[in-house]
Amino acid sequence: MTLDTRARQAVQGIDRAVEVMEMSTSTKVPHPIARFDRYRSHKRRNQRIGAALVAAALTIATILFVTGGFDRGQAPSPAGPVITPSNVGTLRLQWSARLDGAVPGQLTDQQTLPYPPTLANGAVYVGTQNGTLYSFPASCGSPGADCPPNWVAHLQGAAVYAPTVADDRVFVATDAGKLYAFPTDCASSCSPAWVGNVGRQFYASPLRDA
Amino acid sequence: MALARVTVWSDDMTSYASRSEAVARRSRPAIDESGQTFEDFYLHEYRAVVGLAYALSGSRAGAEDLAQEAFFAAHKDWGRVGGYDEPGVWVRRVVANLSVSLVRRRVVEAKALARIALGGTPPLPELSAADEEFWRAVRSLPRRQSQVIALHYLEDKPVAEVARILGTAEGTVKKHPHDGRRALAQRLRLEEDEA
Repeated sequence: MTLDTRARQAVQGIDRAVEVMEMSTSTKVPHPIARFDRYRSHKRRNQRIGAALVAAALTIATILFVTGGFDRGQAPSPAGPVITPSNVGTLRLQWSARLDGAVPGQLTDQQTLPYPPTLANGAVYVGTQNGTLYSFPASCGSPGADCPPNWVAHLQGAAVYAPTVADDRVFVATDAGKLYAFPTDCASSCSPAWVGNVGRQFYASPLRDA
Repeated sequence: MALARVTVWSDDMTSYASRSEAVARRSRPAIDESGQTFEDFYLHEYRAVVGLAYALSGSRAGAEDLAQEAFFAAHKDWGRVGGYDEPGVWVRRVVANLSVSLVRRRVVEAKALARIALGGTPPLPELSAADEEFWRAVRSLPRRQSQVIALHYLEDKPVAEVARILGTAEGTVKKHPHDGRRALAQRLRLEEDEA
């Protein structure tokens, strides 16, 4: 089956869903204007409730952030000079590596900015949209070298967001709704310690409870 | 308003013809837009806008509310929005942006689920597993790309109109159909149609 054929079926699925919804609600839903009047009267009350909830959530998030309650599991950056506009021009390539596909990223107005790799315990972890997770040694060979990975692992679906490292496990989510945990000390080819089937889309990197 | 058009992104004119028919079925019959009332506009566009919200948000419960919110915004400011050449473009931009906003989607879904639990209106029926997988793959694309691809498949819009809907430059939109279709084919392990 080709992409366009599959797309046509999926569009028909949406059509059917909306059609059934219309049939099931057409006798119950009031006239759109009446509905909007009711909606408008409820909106102000909902906005007040929403503002209170958002304020509470922000307070909790701030407390957790300040106390270190959220942590993506990355080791702190190794001590060294901070990259600034004045010294960025002096950076030199230490090593590079070839991946089997693009790294997932965040779309800006003009381009996609890849999520940065995850650095932890002397290793760099990065997943690709072709469903491969790589581990590379952070210090790899001589300057300009092509770096071979410590290990690679195959995923079902494309990696989404950056991997997370906690203790001796690296966690990565895929667009197939899978959450994988791999041992960080694998050799060459890595099998997951476990796979979670969330079955839904992920919206952030996995978080560890610090 | 043109309900369906053959677009310049076409890989396969046959498939576009059948997509155009689907678009026409989903939309109400065309009406004269000069001096149309909000009610005319709502009845004409509602079905397509709910479909777009459903595809882009993946929220079965919240799609209706997302569409309602977009139409409510149009209703509040109908004096201005109704004067646009194509108010449908405006309402699609609102719903496309609302649908990909994680926070907004979660709030709307929670409200919809609460309403359903209290015996309110039923949600949209569930999609088949295959259709759900397709739209999930679309949503897994980068945000702007997923909006472009959803409009491409659901509404058969040409690049210029998609750019107007998304409020961005035509040149920015142009690259997305090709890249998006390729990524989608890879993720769904399907063959891309011949260019």
